[in-house]
Amino acid sequence: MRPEHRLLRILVPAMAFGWLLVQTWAPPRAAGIAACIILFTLMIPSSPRKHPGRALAGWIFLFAILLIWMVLLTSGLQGRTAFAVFVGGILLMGLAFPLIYALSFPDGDQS
Amino acid sequence: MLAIWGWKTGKGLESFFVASRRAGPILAGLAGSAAGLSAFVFVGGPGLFATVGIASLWLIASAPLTGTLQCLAVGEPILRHIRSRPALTIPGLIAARWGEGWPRGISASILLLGSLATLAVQIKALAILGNTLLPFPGWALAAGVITLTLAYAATGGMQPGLPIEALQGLIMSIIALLLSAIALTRAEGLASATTILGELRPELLDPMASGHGGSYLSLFLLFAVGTCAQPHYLQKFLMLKDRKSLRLLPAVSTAALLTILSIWVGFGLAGGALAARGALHFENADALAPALLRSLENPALLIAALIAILAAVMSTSATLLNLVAAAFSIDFPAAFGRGSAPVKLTQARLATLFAAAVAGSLALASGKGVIRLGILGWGLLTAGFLPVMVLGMRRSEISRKAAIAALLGGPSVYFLLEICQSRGFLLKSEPGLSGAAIGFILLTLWKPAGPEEKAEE
Repeated sequence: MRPEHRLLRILVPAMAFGWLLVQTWAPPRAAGIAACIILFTLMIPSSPRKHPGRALAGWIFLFAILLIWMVLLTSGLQGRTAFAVFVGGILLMGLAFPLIYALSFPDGDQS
Repeated sequence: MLAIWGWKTGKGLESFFVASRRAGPILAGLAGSAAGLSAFVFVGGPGLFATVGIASLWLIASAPLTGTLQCLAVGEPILRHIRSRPALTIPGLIAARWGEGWPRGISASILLLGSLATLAVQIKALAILGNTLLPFPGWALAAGVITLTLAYAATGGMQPGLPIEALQGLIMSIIALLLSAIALTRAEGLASATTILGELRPELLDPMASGHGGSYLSLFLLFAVGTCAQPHYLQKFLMLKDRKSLRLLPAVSTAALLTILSIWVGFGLAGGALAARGALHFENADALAPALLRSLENPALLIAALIAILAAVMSTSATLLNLVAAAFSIDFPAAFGRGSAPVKLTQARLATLFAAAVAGSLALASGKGVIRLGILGWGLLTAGFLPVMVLGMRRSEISRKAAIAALLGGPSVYFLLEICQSRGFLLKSEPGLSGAAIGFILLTLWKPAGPEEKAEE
């Protein structure tokens, strides 16, 4: 069995079980952070990127935005500030995610 | 005209089911957003906002990242696969990966159930719209719109369907933005509406919905990862002309999504603020959008809203009808070993008509609201397809038996949880995500594929 698959056999069930537990027993902030981690795990590219270093930096940057936004919204924020953070974050991410994807898209046949 | 053009030019299965694989990022992005967003957004969404507040935004908060997520998690692997093994359907893609028979049959069954539930949502939303907004019975509107959709969906399939959906996506974007702006103006502006809610209904400006935030966060994740499992989203990847189209696809689909979803915030916020002041009355969440439209007292806006809602319903319905037609005419026969028999377009067209009839019956018989029915379909498809699409397509070690186990296990857990929750048990476990989690566990812990199985692939 390849080492990668061995690692997957540990990580994937751990994340799956982890989600099952978190959604049932953990406070909302933990569930939100777990959701962010799951999303970014799924966003690990399956093919090499044009500039791997920049792609990694971009991935970390996007993860940071999502995580900060999630933590703010699950920290008891309410009222007009909560609305501004919610909608403002959505709009910011709407710009950032497609842009970073397009910039790191591999040219040629790098599958 | 497009239906006639589709009938004349669409002579083969590739044109009927995947629009001859000629779509670029703009066509696929606009059409994908239109097909993915439906009456759920226009009828159910604003009503949910007005009743639970900004917590309802968790259902759409993943919109800025789903375009990118889809391309990374499933789009790139799908395009790699179909280069060597072209597939016309998602079950066909699964069969190309793991062989014919059970994988195809089970995935076609999941697709059928989930797609019919989602199609029933569209018909139900049309019936509500007809009953609340127009001077004739809702079922008549639903029947008329579905007939119009069938005119091009059953004749040319996706050949005319794809450009029509792209146009519908553009129309939805423009009208949604316009209506949101007008509704917020009616409520005296964004700042005023949020101030009113803050004073009169402060619970509506709580992202955690007064302690119920956990379930909304589950829905956030469900709607985010679920985009990688919905056949009506994934089908667009089968239509792309080349891999380079993926570069701009997230930009186009995200822009379209966010502009269309502005109606959820604009109408919901304006409707909620007006209702808090006593200036707007509606019987239930689904009735908010029609009530707000009537209150604007402008026939042109009413017509514009109707056009946008009809575009939303028709775009989603056309894609779903096509998927169900493919399941009946291609996937089930292939799964039962009759894949070598030539498929005639007439079969596909008749299957399209049959799908509409079944979905219509389900819509009439179901007592559930639009939002609830929408979540049911989405959750089932997520539980069934997410593990195999996200992990199975990328890893050659995932065996045929593991894939079958995941395809069966995920939906089984999903239905079990739905039954338990209808009786008041296990209410905190989101069924779609829980089913998908079990699917992922089965997929990875099952014995990996041996060298012979990998060689066959």
